[in-house]
Amino acid sequence: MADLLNWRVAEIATDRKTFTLSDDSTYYTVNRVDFSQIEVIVVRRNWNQSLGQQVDIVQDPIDDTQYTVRLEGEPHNGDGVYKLAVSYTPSTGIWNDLDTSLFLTPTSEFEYSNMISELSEECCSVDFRMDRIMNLLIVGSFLDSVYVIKDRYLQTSDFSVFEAERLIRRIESVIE
Amino acid sequence: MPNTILFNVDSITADRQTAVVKYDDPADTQGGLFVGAFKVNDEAEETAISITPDDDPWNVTQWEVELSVDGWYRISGVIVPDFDPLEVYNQYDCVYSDGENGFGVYRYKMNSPSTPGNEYGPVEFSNLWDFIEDPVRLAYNVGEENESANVNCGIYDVILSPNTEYEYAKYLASLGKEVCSVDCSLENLEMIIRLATIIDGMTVRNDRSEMPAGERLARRAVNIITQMNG
Repeated sequence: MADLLNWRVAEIATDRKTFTLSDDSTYYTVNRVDFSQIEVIVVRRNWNQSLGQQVDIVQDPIDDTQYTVRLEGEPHNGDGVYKLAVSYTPSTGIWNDLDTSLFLTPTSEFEYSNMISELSEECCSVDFRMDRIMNLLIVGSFLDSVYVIKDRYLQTSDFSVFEAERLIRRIESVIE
Repeated sequence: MPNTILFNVDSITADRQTAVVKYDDPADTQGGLFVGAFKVNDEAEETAISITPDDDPWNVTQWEVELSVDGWYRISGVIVPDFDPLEVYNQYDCVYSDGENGFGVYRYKMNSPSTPGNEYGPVEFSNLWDFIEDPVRLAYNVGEENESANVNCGIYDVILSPNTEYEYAKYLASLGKEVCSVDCSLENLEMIIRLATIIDGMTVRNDRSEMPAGERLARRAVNIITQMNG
């Protein structure tokens, strides 16, 4: 039944501190779901395969199947892999459960854009030095790797999610 | 009505000479639609460029804009409502006269709101109305004292980089083979990375509406491409 659900990150706030989770599937109306019975939990995934802190759902819910969730900032920058669990026990006795991962890299992408913006000027200069843009290439490659892992995870649900978390932490270090 | 017309570049032709521009309809599209295209330099100075059609203020849904070099382009437009003799007009409101009593855009002069009526239409009564030579310029009055509050406006700035991207792809294709060889030149690879970063830089500047910086990157990219091809 969980296949019928379509929970996804609908939007990340421009300050990169919160994101909106939503599900636009028709399942809820077709099955006359009692929204008060839906439980949504978001938890950080650690790189060592353990689960981290449960994340605040700051607005609960905005509109039946839409939640605003705070990106957990400390000790990290908020980017990372999050576990999303959605469960529902309706009065009819049908039970649905969704357990998936969210890959969120808004701060890394923002900082990467900053690096591109600054270093693209440097690329125009006659005394361009390759070593000046090595960090840019590293961050770009790591971000690409996270996107690849995300795509594969969505297809096969393997455990590479933890590798993605490791990569995101490395990106954070390079940017710092 | 600032920026109620939302333009976008829908596509660029394979020869990179023409951009197809479309727009999202604002709610009120009755009236005359006037659009202009400009190449803008890094000091924000506009040079008008060819846009077609440029003579049909009705029912146009897309335009073809002539591209020359990469960089900062601007599409500006206004939709001026049809003249209505029963409408209350404020100072600086504009109307479009569709040809029955003349043709063109007129701006109301009176500093108190009033209903001109048929006998004081824009063409017949120049004491009430100024003829607007270049209606597109009304878009630039948004936020100014003489803003025409009843006119839908749109100014769309964009950094376009089709030529740089084309040269990058060409260079990439030629280097593909070289990368397979044992005497692969790192110097050439460096050049590819520089160009890729400059293209990405233009995209970031465009996303952040930092147009002068995007335009400067486009100009510098030309030098690097010349160097590469040399």
